Amino acid sequence: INSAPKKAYKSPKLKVLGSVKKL
Amino acid sequence: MDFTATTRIKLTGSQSSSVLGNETIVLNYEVGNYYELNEIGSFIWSLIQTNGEMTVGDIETKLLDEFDVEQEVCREELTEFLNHLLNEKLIETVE
Repeated sequence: INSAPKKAYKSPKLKVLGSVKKL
Repeated sequence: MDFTATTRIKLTGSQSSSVLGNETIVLNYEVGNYYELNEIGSFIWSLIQTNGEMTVGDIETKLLDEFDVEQEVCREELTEFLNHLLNEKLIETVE
């Protein structure tokens, strides 16, 4: 009763959005 | 790189980040790339940022406390994620 429910897990992701140099 | 539970890591000095909803946008102004971290990636990033430096074991413990995930899966995916950050020069190990 006292333990808080845990949040849903998803794989941690790092997505490359773009390059400042190209811009 | 083979991270162990005692490997200490910190954010590099050549990045700047901003929280956007559940995600985080990171700019690496040395490499010249900008990135998006998803919710779990942002959680890990925030932990390292708040604490200055952390061991991989401490990060794993925090993830297991907060999220519904098996330890083996957590360890494997955390290692993969940290290697990605390391390759992009967003984190570095502390000797």
